[in-house]
Amino acid sequence: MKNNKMLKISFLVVAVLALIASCKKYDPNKLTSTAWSPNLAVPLAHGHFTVYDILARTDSNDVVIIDPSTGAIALVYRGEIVSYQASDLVDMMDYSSTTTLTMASDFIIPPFGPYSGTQSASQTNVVNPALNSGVELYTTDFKGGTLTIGVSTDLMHDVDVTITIPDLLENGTTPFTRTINLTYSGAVPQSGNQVVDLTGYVIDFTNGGTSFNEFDIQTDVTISGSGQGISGTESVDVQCDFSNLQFEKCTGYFGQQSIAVDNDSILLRIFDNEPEGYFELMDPRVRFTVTNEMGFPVEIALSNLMTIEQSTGNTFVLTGYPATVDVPAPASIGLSTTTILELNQSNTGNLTTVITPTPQWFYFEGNGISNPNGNQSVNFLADTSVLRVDAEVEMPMEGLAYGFTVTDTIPFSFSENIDYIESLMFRINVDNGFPVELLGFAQVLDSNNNVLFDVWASPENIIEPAPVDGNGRVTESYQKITDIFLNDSQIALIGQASYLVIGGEAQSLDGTTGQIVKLFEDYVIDLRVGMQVQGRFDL
Amino acid sequence: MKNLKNIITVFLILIGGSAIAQEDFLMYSFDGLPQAHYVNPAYRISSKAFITMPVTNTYLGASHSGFKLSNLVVVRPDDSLELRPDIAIDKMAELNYLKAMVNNEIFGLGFKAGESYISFSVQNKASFRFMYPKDLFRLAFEGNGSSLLGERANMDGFGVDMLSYLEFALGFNRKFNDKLTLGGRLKYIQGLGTVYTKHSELGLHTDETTFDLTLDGQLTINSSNTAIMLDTNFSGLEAGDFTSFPNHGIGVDLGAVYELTEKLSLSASILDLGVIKWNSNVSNYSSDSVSFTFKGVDINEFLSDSSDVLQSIQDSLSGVFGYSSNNEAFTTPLFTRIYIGGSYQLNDKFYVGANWYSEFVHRHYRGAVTLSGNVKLKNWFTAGLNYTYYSRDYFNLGLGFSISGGPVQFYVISDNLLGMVIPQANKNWHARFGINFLMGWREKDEKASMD
Repeated sequence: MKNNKMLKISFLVVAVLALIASCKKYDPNKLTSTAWSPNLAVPLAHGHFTVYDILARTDSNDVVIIDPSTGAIALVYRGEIVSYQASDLVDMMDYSSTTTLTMASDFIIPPFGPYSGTQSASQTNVVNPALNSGVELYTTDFKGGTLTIGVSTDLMHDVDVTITIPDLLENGTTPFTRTINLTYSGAVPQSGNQVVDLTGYVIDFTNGGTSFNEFDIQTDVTISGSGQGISGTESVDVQCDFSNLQFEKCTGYFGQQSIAVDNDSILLRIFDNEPEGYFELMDPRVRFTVTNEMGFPVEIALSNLMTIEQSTGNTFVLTGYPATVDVPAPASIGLSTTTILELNQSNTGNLTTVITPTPQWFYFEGNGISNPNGNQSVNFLADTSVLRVDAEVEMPMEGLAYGFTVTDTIPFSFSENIDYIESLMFRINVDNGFPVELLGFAQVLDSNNNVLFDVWASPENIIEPAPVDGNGRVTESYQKITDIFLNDSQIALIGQASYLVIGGEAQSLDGTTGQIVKLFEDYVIDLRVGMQVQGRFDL
Repeated sequence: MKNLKNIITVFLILIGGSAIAQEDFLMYSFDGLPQAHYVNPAYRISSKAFITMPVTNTYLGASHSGFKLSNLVVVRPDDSLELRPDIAIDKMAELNYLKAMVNNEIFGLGFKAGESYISFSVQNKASFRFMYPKDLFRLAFEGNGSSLLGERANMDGFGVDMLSYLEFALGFNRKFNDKLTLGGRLKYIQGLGTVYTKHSELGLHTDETTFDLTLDGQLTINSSNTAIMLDTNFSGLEAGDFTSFPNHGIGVDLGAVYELTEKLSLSASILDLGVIKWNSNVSNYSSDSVSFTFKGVDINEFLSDSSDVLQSIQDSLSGVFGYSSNNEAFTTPLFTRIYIGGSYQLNDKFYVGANWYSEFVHRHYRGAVTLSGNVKLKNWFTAGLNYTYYSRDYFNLGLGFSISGGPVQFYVISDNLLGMVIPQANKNWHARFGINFLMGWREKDEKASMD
C-alpha cells in the first residue's frame, strides 16, 4: 500500500516534469519581418523678433527712435553734408621781412680811415602777414610758429643788432625784443642768428586799433670800432622769417567766404533690398542740423534735394522746401549755435511722394557763405572751431504698404536617409504682433539651382496680420500655424535639396484698401519651425 | 536581421524565458517547514529541532511586472512570430519592475526550549531590481510624436537596484498562551555590494504645437563594491573578506500568529526592516537638476553669427547636464515586505488560507493576494497549492510539497508552476527547495500514527 502511494506520487512528479519539458518555446528564427514606425516631433528653429530686429538689424547706423509718450517708432537714417574746419578759413602762410642799414645812408662815419668810435642807427618796417584772400586779422594767439632772425654784415667792427616788435607780446604781456652781438675776429662777412618759438605769443595786427593785417618791426644797430678801416660801402642786413605759424584763436573780419559746396546721400536701408510694391508714409521728415562754432554768421543754401532709385537711377525731386538756412554766430569763443531746419509735408511740396517709390537714397547738396550781411561785428575763430551740417531722414512708421515681394535663397540640405521616412511634415508657427501679413512661397532647389518642387501649389498665407484699433495700433497678436505635408514624390526628392528659396508678398493690414497702421515699440513676432517625421524601419 | 534576432533572443531570455515569479507566497502557508520561520518569525516547526543541510536550501525568484512574452511576440496562424511592442506597451503599468532574487542558506538551525523557539541562520542574499517606466518604451517604439505629443513622457523612477549581503539572523518566538505566538529575528548584515538608485526623475515633454522638447529630471545613484556584482574579472571574495567588510547593517523580522478559534488563525509578519550603511569603495553620482527646453536653432543668433549656433547649443547642453560625484558613506534600506494572512482548518488533513503581501519599492506600493490550500496526507508528505494575483497578473498557480524520510526532509515549492510550463504567458517564476534534518520527529510521527 505504501509503495503504491509512492508510485502515484512519483508518477505525478514525472508528469509535471514531462509537462515542463514539453512546453513550447519561442524560436527567434521564426520571427518575421516587422515594422517599427516611430513618429518624431522636433523643433527646428525659433526666433523672437522685435521692431529693432526687423527694422534696424542690418547696420548699427540704423536708428529706431521711440516716441516716449506713445511708444510709436520711427526710423532715422543719418548723413553729414559738410564739416568745415577753421583752418579752411584762415590760413597763415610763411612770410619774411628784410631790413638793410648802409654806411652811406644810415651811419655818419667817414670812410677810409681807421675807426675806433661807436655809432648807432635805427629803422622801422611795417610788415603785412600773408593770409588767404578776404581775411582781415585783428589779433592772433599763436599755438605754434617760428621766428628766425638773421644778421649779416661786411663791417670789420663789432656790431650789435636789436630787433623789437612792439605788438608781439611774449606771454601776452611783454613786447618782443632780441639782440644779436657780432664781435669782429678778423674775418668778414660776419653773421649771426636767433630762433624764437612763437608758442604762447600774442600779436596785434591793428597797429593801435587803426588798421588790420599789419605790425611793425624795429631794428636798432650799434657799431663799435675795432681800429680797422671803413670803405663806405658796408651794410648791416637783418632778416626776420615767420614760418609754420599756427593760431590758437584769432579775431578779425573773415569776409564773405564761400563754404565749400558739398553733397551727400543717405542710404534708406529699409529699402535696401529694392522691394517692389507700394509704400506710403504719413509723415516723413528730413532734418538738417547746423552746428556753428565759428564766430561769424553763415547762410546755408540747400539744393537738389531728391530721392534716387538705385537700380533704375530714377530720381524723385523734392520741391517747395525753404531755400536757405540762416545760422547765427555764437556769443563768444568756445560756444556754438545749433540751427535746425526740418522739412515735412507742410514746408515741402511732395515729401511723401518722393518716399513712396521706395528709393534707396536721399540726395542733397548744400553751400554756404560767411558773413552774408557783410562786416557787422568782430569775427572770432578758434583752431578747433567747425561748422557742421548734419542731415537725417526720419520715417515715422505710420502708413500702409502692399505688393512687397521679398525673396531669399538659403542653403538647405536634408541629410536624413529618406528610405526610412514614411511621411514628413514641417510646421511653421507664427504668432504675429505686427499689422502685416505675408503670402509666402518656397521652392526646393538642387545643387544646380533646378527646382525640385514647390512647397505649396499656390502661395500660402503663412503670416496673418494682427488686428488694429481705430488708431492703427495692434490690439492683439494673431497666431497662424501652417503645416506643410510633403508627399511621397517630394520626400523622394528632398534628399537632393541644396537650396531653399523662400519669399513672399507682404502687405500691411488691409493695405490695399487704405487702412493706416502704426508700428510701436512693443510689437513682436514669434516664429517657430518644427518637423514631424513618421519613420518606418523594417526589422 | 541576424543581430537583431540575437538581441531579441537575449531579451526573450531575460523577460520571457525566465518569466519567473518570486516572493514566498506558498511558503507562508507551509508553516511546518523550518524555512517558514523566515517569512513569519512566529512560525515554528513541530519537531524539537532542525538543522539545514548547508548550501542546499535555495531560493530563486524573478518577476517582470510589465508584460508577458506573449504580449510582445504574437504567434501568427502560420506559426511565425511577430513583434508587437504596441501590445506589450499597452499591458505595462506606468512603472514596471524586472526583479530577480537569489537566496542561499549557508547554515541554519533551530530548536524548541520550553515554550520558546530559537533559531539561527546564515544566508547569502542577492537581488536585482530594474525599474522602467512605460513611457520609456512608448518613447522608443512610438516616438514622441504620437500619443506622447503634448504630454510629458514620464520616466520617473527609472533605475537599477542591486543588493548583495550576508545575513546572520538570530530568531526567537514564544507561545504566550494558547492563542498568541510572537516572534522575531534580529539580523546582523554584512553588505557585500550595492547599486542603489536613490532618486530618479526624468521627463521629456513635447509641446503639442511647437514641438519644443523640455527635458527635466535629476538622478542620484549610490554604489559600493560594484566590482563584486559587475566586474567579470573580479576574482571573488577571500575568507578574510567576510570579517573585514566595513558595510554593516542591521535588520529585524517580526511576526505574530493568533489562533482565533481552534480552526481559524490569523498571522502577520514584517520582514527585512532595516538598513545597511555602505562605507567601502563608495561611488556616488548625482546629476544636476535639469529643466531644459530645446526650441531648435535660435534664428536671432543664427542671423548674427551662423558659425556659432551649434557651439552655442553645445554650450547650453554642457551647462545643463552637469553632475557631481563623491565617496561619502550612504545607507540603503532592506527590501521590506509585509505579510498578513489567515488560515482555516477544514479537517485534520486539509486547511485553506489567504494572505496579503505588500512591499514598497521607492515609495511605490506593490501587492499580492494569495489563496492557498494545504493538505497533509501523511506525516511524511505535505502538499500545497496556491493561486496568487501578483505583478498585475492573474495567472499564478503555485505548487509545493515536502517529503520526509526519517529525519531528512526535502521540499520543493513554486509560486508559479505555470511559469515553467508556459513561460511566455507568465510574468513570474519562483522556486524554493532544500533539505533539512529534523530532530524529535520520530516521537511525533509515532504519536500521529497511533492517532
